[in-house]
This record gives sequence, C-alpha cells and structure tokens, in this order.
Amino acid sequence: MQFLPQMPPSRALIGGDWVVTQATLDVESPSNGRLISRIARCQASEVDGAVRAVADAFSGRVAHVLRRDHRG
Amino acid sequence: MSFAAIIEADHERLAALECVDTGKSVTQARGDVGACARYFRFYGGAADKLHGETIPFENDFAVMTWREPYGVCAQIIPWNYPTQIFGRCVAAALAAGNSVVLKPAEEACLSVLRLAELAVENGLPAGVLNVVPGLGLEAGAALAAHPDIEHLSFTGSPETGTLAAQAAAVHHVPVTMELGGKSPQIVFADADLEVALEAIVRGIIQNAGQTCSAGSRLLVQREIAEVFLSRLAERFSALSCDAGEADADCGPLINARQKSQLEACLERARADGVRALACGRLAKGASKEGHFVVPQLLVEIPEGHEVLREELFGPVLAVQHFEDEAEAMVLANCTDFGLCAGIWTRDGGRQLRLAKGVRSGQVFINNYGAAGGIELPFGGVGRSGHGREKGFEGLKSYTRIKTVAIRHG
Repeated sequence: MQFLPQMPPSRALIGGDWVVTQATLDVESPSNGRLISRIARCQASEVDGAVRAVADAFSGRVAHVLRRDHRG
Repeated sequence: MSFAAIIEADHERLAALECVDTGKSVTQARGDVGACARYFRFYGGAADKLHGETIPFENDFAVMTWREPYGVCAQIIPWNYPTQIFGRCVAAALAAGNSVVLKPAEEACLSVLRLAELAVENGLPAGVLNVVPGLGLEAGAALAAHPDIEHLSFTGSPETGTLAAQAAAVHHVPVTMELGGKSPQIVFADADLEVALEAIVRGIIQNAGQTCSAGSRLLVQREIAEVFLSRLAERFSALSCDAGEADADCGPLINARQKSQLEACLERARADGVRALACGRLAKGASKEGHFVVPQLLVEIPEGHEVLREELFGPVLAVQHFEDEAEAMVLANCTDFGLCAGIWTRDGGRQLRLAKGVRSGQVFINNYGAAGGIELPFGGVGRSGHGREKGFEGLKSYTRIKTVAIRHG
C-alpha cells in the first residue's frame, strides 16, 4: 500500500451522533486484499433510530435549512 | 462556506478514500469528488427555483399546486460510485427540503462517512442526514421495509431492487429505481471513428466496467467492422490493470465474489465459442490478492448469448455486427435493459430516428456520457428501473404535488 488516508468515523451517524454498533464489518482493499478499516454493522434497531431522528428533524426546526444568504 | 466548497477543500483526502476503498484509479476518484461538489452546487442553486403552478379552473376558483418535500427519504446506494451518488441523492433530497437516512454499501462507504463527517462538522442540523452502514440484508432490508419512510431511492442490481421495491410497496412508499444496464454503442461507417474509438474504450474500462451506464455492447456496421475492430484490439491490448493507487487504465473489481462471477461467465462464453479478440494486461507490480480481471474485447458471440443480454459489471465489451440502420435498431433493443445508448453517425436524420427508436433513458449522439452529466436527467426503462435522478428532474422527484383549490366566489 503506497498510502492510506486518514480514515473517517467507523460508526453510524444517527440524529447527529456517531453511534457504535455491537458488530462491525471489515473493509478490505480491492487492490490488494488488505484490511484498511472497519465500519458499523447496523441492524434494524439502528435503522429505526435513524428514521425516528429524521422524523424529528423534519417536523421541527430544520425543515428549511436554506438561508436567504446561501441562495445561489 | 457552501458544502460544495467544503468538499473541494477536502478533495485529496476524499479522493484517496474513494480510491483505496473502491480500487478505482486516483484520477477517476478525483473526478468523482469534483462531481459530488458539483451536485451540491447545482442543487443548492436550484433549491429556491422549484415551485408549483397556478391552474386555470372555474371562474370562482383559484387553484395552485405546491411542491412539498416527502419528509423522510430513504436512500440505498451502491459501492461503485459512493461519492458521486452521495451527491446525486443527498444533495437533491436535502435541497428539496427532505431529510435523509442513507444506507451505503458495505463494500465501499468510507468516502460517504467522510462526507457525513464534513456535513456534521460544518453545522448540518442533527437528524437531517443519517448514515447507517451495514449489510443489505440487515440494514438495507430494515430501511426499505420501515413503515415511516416516505420515499425510497435505490441504486443497485435489478434483483435487489425488486426486493427493495416490494418491501416499500407494503407501506405504499414511492420508489426511484436505478438498476443498471447493458448499453449499446452503435457505430456507423460514416462516423468519426477516431472520436468513437476513444469514447468506446473509456465507456467500458471506466471503474473497471463497474458502471451502470457502461457502454458494454459494441454494434458496428459490417463494412467497417474489420478495420474498426483491429484498431480497437490495438487499444485493448495496450490497456494496463493495476491497483487504484497506481492510476492505471483499469483497476480491480470490488471483491472476490464479483471477480469469480465474471470469470465463470467468461468461461461459459469461451465454451460457447466466444473469442477474446484482444485482452489488456496485468501490471507487473499488481498484487495477487487484488481482484483483477483484464479488459477484454469479445467477438463471435452466438445470438442471444448471456454476454449480450446480462450486465457483466466488468471491463468486457461484447461485439456484434449489423448491415443497416434497421438491423442496428433491432440489436440495440434486444436486451431487457434500457439505460443509455451511444449513436455514432454524421447522418442527422439517422441520429434522430435512432434516438427516437432506441429504448433507453439517455441517448448520446457522437459522444458518450457514462456517469457524467450532473445537470442531465438520468434513469432507465424496463429492467434498468424507473424514475429519474440528476438534473432538475432529480430535484422534482424528491417532492410531491399538493393541489390547493380556493373558491373565492
């Protein structure tokens, strides 16, 4: 491996929090088969938490995230 | 700072993650990061230009339509272009006012996690974007079947797409399905053959052929077939396969399963009399543990063979010959897929006749767009799926119409 970039979080992003899952999945390089990282292995419970987090975000304060001065 | 600019500022790290994770060349990965930033710029600019209509109705009424976001958008995306498809799906959904639960592919999602990290670090409100990595049969299945999602966008294989659409249908959730292709490149004798040749090679080796819009069939007019194929064979023979980091013409396939499936298919093809007119080569330094399959140009293919019908998802170009326009049209439409088509001819009438007659979501005349074209609606017919992503159509597809009728007397 010539270079390995700094890895991002190996967790799930749910409701703004990086959540650790019980199990993880290995990520291997297709180019040489080496282990390069691990990622979260979400189950139905994490997915359910994420859907609820979206529902909360949507019904509340952030339905319109676009500010006037950000418009293009 | 716009999110597009934030992505651009993190360009090299994102490209390096995409490269090591997917095996695609550094050059390709850099292009993909640029495309991702363009999606956020395009949809960010389009967000306040999406509006409904007023509809003439009876005299004492005023009627209007509003375009409303769905709310909870579920997105299941594949491993071949995680960075680009993050831009295509997430930017459009958020710009239309939705929030997202994104299930990236377990084979490659490091760039997606980095993009999510950048979004959080730069102030995206909690819950607007959620990322749930995991297996398709676990996290993916749970997401598609969740009763509280309000829209599902799925990009992947037709077989998994069927399962996802069935799961969503239980709760009457609308779906966009982008399911791959077997797209033809149709080359007539009067075409600019130099330009066609380069585009055809690029269109099949990009990302080692693991591109839904790959031009994986070459239909060439018989009178130029010998000359054109000999030129194409020269190009294929010169192609080199190596690690993504080595920035060769062609990288590895994503994993051992994809490699063994493709090799088994090629073995069956050989047994059926299919011949490889030319093959690329594996670079000397390439790891034996890499999932490499060299680019191949297949000829002498029996009619109806699987290499002409099925999406192989590898750097394999299947060649057929045709006599005239009518036969070209028949061959172009002889798969169940219909994503893209490339038409190479200088005859203007023929360009339009074929563009009308070819069964596909996109038609490229004297060019081939592969996965590019942020602004261009993209999607399939038949087994390639339904619904459109990209462009303004993609933004609309993340909204639903509410009709408001006012009786003012």
